[in-house]
Amino acid sequence: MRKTELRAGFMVLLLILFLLVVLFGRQFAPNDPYASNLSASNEAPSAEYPFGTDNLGRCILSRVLSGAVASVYTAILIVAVVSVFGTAVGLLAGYGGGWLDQILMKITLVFQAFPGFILAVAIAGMLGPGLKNAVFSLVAMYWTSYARLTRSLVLQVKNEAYVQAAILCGAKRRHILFRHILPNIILPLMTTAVSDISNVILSMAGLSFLGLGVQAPQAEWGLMISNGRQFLQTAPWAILFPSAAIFLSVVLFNLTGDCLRDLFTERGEV
Amino acid sequence: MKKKLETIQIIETARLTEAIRRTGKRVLVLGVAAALAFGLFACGSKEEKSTTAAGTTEGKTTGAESSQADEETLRAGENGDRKIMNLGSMGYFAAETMDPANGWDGWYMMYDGATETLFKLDETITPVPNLALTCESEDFINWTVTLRDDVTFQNGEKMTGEAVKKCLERTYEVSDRAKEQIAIESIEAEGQTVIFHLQHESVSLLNDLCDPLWSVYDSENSNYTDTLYCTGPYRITEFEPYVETVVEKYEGYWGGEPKLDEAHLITISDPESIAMALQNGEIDLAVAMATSSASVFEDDPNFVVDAVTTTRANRMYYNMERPALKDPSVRQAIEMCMDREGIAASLYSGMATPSWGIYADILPYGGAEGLNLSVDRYDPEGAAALLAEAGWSDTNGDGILDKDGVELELRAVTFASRKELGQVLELLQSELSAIGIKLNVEIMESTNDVVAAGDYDLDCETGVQAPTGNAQYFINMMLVTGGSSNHSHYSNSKLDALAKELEKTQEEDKRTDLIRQMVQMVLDDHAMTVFNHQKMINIYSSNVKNYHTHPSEYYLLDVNTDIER
Amino acid sequence: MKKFILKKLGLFIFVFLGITFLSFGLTYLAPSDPAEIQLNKTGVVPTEELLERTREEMGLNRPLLVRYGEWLFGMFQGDMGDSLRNGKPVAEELAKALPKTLLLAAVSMAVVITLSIPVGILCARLKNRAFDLAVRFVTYLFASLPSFFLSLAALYFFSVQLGWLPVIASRSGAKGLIMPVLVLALSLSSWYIRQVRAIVLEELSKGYLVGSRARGIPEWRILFFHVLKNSMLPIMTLLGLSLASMLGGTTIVENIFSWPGLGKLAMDAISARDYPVIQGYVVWLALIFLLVNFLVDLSYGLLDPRVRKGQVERK
Repeated sequence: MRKTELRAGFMVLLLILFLLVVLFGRQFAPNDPYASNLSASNEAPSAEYPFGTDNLGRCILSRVLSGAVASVYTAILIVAVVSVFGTAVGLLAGYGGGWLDQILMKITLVFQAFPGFILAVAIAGMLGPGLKNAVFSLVAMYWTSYARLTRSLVLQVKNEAYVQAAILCGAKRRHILFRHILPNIILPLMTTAVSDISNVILSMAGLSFLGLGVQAPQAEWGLMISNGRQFLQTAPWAILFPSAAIFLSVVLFNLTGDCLRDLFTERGEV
Repeated sequence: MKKKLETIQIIETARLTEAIRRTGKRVLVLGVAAALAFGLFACGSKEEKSTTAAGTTEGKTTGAESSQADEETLRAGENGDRKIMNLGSMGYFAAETMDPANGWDGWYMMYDGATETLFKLDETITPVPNLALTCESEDFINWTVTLRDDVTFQNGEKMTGEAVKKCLERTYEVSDRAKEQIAIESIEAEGQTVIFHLQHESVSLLNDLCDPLWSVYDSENSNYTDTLYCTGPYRITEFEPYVETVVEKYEGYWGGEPKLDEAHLITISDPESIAMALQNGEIDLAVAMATSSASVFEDDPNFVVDAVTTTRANRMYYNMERPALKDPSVRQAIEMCMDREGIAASLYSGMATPSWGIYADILPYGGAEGLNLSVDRYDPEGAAALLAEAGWSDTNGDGILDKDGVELELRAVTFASRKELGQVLELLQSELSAIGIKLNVEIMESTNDVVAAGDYDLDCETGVQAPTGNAQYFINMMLVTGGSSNHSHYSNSKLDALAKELEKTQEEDKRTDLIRQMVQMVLDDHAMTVFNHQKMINIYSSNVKNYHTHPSEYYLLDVNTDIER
Repeated sequence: MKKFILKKLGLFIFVFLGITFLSFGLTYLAPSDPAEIQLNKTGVVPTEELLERTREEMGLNRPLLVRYGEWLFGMFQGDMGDSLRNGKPVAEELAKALPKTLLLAAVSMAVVITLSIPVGILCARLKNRAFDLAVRFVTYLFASLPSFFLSLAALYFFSVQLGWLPVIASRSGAKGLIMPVLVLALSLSSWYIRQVRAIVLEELSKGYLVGSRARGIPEWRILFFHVLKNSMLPIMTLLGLSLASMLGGTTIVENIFSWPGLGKLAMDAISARDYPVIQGYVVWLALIFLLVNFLVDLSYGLLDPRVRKGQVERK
């Protein structure tokens, strides 16, 4: 019990630290991430350029640091949007029941019938490349799981004695939803959200790699890897460091999500 | 579960079968296996149409011959002693159709060794007889061309004067570029002679006829979707646009027996993949490699890096119909922000010569010497000052310069297969953002649609300037009002008049003078920037014999190209 | 029984209509007007009047539902319009690429199954022992790396450094499949092994196993027959669902390994703004995914009366 708590606490701390680094990383960038310097193109890591330079002579460390905002915070934003939207749909469906539930769940079902990443590629492909379009396509890809999860949680909680009691007491719908139901399902939802951030980071990087996400010259990890691909043999650092950054953030969010889940399942049992 | 596993075994078997016989019904086998696996409609395989069509079975080759050829293929496939060469490129096998008169397809098919022209260029870019034996003209209007008597099309039909006439008439009819290049009044044929009657004097007919656009093919019997009968050493047997073209040797070739039995010309969309495929032996010759790849192979004795200076010009068009670019100072400012030396040294790995003029140094009328250059160095500060002077300032505080409601936010496009062009735009993007111009860069598979729609500000392109040595070619296409590749929508009546004059001028000094006058106009008007002239880089395995890169960029496979395994 | 099939079929048809409708609606997202694209193709400068006429000719002015109906009807007849890029029928282009993607996905799926199920079961049985920990570590690693990085790394080591495997997958038969399959299968397995482990762990905690052990049934028999049999339903269901990420993964992998499947076709179409092909790509893959899951559903309903009677919910 204590061990799980400690571990979860440690991971959350680590995550917060990471988010701070991401947020303020740009300030510590040794060079201007957008300043090209043709006389220093494709240079190996050195004291001046700790991660080396890309083909336009831009400092890769600085670009990894400033790209973190685009990669990580966009993912967080997307998860925030889908979890709020999906949860709202799930709440309506689960609590409203009846035909509302039927309609909302059928719509969810249709969206879920698309293989996720393919829907995102198609939407982004139709809209044309760009960060906004990529975000939109990933929202379309991810919202369904929250709707379904929330609905099933609501259905569980709805039958609990305290909710039934509140209904019997004649409490208002809004009161029941926000005071009784939401607080009881928020933790599992948040846990899912934390783990999902890592999935979104990977999907986003995938879209950028395919040229459908963030556009040049914006520093973004997936795009940096895509650009560095041409120099795989001559300047492997252009691929290695952004990849490592993706790996690190994905692992961090995944581990934190897992620790939180362990914690809540243990508490749930108690 | 059991059922699932069984189907999976079927796939495994299919995979092996596929490995064993890679030709023929491969796609069918795969389709069926995959459909089985998912209990799926077998739509894939049913609708599958074979792209193999030409030559082998449908051609006019006699039945006995073709079945014998098939048998040979089979036997050789088992023994593996057929001489097969694999060529890879990002954008050099990019024919859209099997019609030499369509767009630039004739050029691509000349690389395949499929098509030939009446005259061809030698190493010094001088036209020499090829399918033709002689050419005579007394007035530069009527030209009599005598054809070889021993040439057959790849369906066995003889190449006669009549056939050449019909073919060239068709090309002239179909292609806009053809009309730009040669002003033909009529063509006459008699036996093995063809007589061209031109609308006006031309001194460069022979040069022009070297353009692959004027390839000779059997226009009576080709249908251009799966059959094309030309005269080259290799005939196209499989054609899948943007994927792969397969050619086989044409036994009846007039110039001797082609050394290779078969060649595969493969389009690979990523420069690193081409480099790796070459290292790995999957391809033997990489055509028009990205300049960044050269360094990987330079010191390797197993490969030859063949870099040849050509007239290829990498250039920037400014769409002058767009409000922002109507202002010459904006165009000039953009020119000043191009670090041409840096671009050539870094983005082109030194495989390009920076340019301040229009024509390449190697041409007699080329280079920047003696021209009055308004932009002669990389000068971003000067560009900023110039814009300020012209009245551009950031009035609404969005970080982008504007004037009279026009924002300097520009759309720059280029195509993907020349990686360096995209990098040039990306570099320019960062340079321009420093002086308050926002450049939105889009790199697409092909810019044709965008250009047709006129929906761009900057267009970064590449092209050979004087493949036939004739300056007129570039001027008529890119600079004359309404020219087919005049992406700047540049229009200067004085230049148009000089271009007309050039067509009629024969004297070398006078021609050079006219050309340089026109070049000066383009520079003064900032109508287009040629920022460098790039070397053609072909890299091949040392097994490849009798091959070397031609400075015209017209020829690739020929009768002598060989490979030793 | 009949009722079960009818119910499933009804749902299938509903989702089918939903998928096709959404895919059809996708074209409305495209910033360019199809009429304008059509005109640009022919090199005509589009005026407002000409645009209006072209829209009329192309039937773009009719109500959405009518156009959808026609599009759907055409699709059933194998007519999905023509590619804007090369004028070829979209259905033909897709049909050429589909078998390649299916082959890639099917072989990868086979690898996933043969790898994940035994390893997942062993991990559950050996919970927190060295094997389990090692597998968990490795799966974490692979699940956290982008598939394009795995692909590029594989290319570099297996093709360039070792020279074992071909770079251009499509031209090398079975050998060419190895790397794309490896990347796809490893990425998915690393997720799937963990799911199998969790499912089996739950099953292992059930009481009947004590009885089986008491009767002296060998451990491996218990694991691979009793436990596996009872875990099969969620394992297969998850497998059906994981096909989605597999198909998604093919898009990236096909583009890196030059594998001429639907994903490669779609990316080429996207860069050429060839909207009908993009539309075809999403609708075909969605239908395949739907069909597979429908079949998984149905077969389990047929085999397991509890599912049929709605006692066990699919998650």
